[in-house]
Amino acid sequence: MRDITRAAAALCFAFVCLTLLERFNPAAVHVINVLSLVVFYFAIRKDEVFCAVLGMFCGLIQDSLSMGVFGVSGIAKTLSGFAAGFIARRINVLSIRRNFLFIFFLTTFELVIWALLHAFLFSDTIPSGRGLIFFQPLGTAFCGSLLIHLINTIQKSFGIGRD
Amino acid sequence: MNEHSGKKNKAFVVLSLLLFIQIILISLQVPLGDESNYFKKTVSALTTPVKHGVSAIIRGVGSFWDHYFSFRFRTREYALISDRLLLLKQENLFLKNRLKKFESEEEIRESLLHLYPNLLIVRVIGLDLNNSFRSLIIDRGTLDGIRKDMVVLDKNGYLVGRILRPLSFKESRVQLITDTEWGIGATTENSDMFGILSGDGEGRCDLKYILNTAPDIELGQMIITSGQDEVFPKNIPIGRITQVDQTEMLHKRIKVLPFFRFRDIGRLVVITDDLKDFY
Repeated sequence: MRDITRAAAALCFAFVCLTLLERFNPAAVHVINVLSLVVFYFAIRKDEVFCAVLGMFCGLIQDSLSMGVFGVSGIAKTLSGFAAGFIARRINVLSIRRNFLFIFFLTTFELVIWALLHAFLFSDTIPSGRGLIFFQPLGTAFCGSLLIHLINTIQKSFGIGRD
Repeated sequence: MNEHSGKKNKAFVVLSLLLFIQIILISLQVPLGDESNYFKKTVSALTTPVKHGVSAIIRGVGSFWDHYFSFRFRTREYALISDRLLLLKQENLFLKNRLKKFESEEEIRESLLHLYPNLLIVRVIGLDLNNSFRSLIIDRGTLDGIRKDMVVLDKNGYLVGRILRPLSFKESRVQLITDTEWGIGATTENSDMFGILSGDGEGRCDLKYILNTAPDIELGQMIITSGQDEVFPKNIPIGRITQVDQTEMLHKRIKVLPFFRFRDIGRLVVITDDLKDFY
């Protein structure tokens, strides 16, 4: 129950970030995948099953806020969430540099899955947002690693326990 | 060891189940095209009010900041807006007078009385997360009388799109003119060339079905709605021609850059009634 509450709080925080991005620079929505960051944040703390379920919810939320086929982002995020949980259980990704690489590769993986599904379903070129989407792994990894490092530092300084 | 392997197997079973559920969701959605299935409608009905709420809170905080902390900057802006308003009033008066030559004053007043109640000011609460050039979500829905195919303009009166469908009582989805999957009857200003304008999915539009032999198509020309699609009133500005190429096929390849800008679409106007005759 506690985990679900935390995930819901993280999703609300993601909505706040998303709204701020849309307000100040709409193009940034293509560069930073805020909903994926929620999944990667929990991947460090939880197992692959929790991350896959969370990935599915985040993906379906993304699809519900879009015009495309319902479930495409859901599958991409489920797989990336599962992979994130699986990797984070086996490799220490807590340091900022490793965390950057971790998010970078998983966002790339998610983007590839999403592009393949899109190409398969629509037989069309992927919408690249004037090429900005190709910067998504870099933008998401940069912001994500900084944010997770900041949260970890705050948790350490205030002595807030981790699972 | 066995326990670890069992756990691992269980994880893969759950993953397969989740993927299977979503493949079912996709297969239910694909035949419907842009129409939403019940699952998508349900998730939208849950997420868009949250997005609406978050958007309202952030707007509230922004407005608090504007009201209490940035008066200094606003004073100058206010002076500029006052000057602009003054000029607009003059322009309005001038245009009304010019119109009188064509219509009686009573007819003009009647038209204006018909215009204002049918313009609904709306706010954008979310962009399309998979492709922001396809659609966006606004903060008005069925309770405000929003219906499919209503025309959406930006603050300058430039065409933004149409209402695709209300998502709930207080939220609706707008299909942008930059989306690939629809077309608008369009023409160039001061000419009789009629074509169909559709988005390229990357922020620009293509004006289609203009013959290679058509004269008077130049860079920088303004594109307006033709009214022939019976969705949009005539003469609404859409954008400017940025590229014209002759092709080996029958028609020219014409690229149009829309006038509306994502940075300026915080507030939009929805035309809630059939005002084709007014335009």
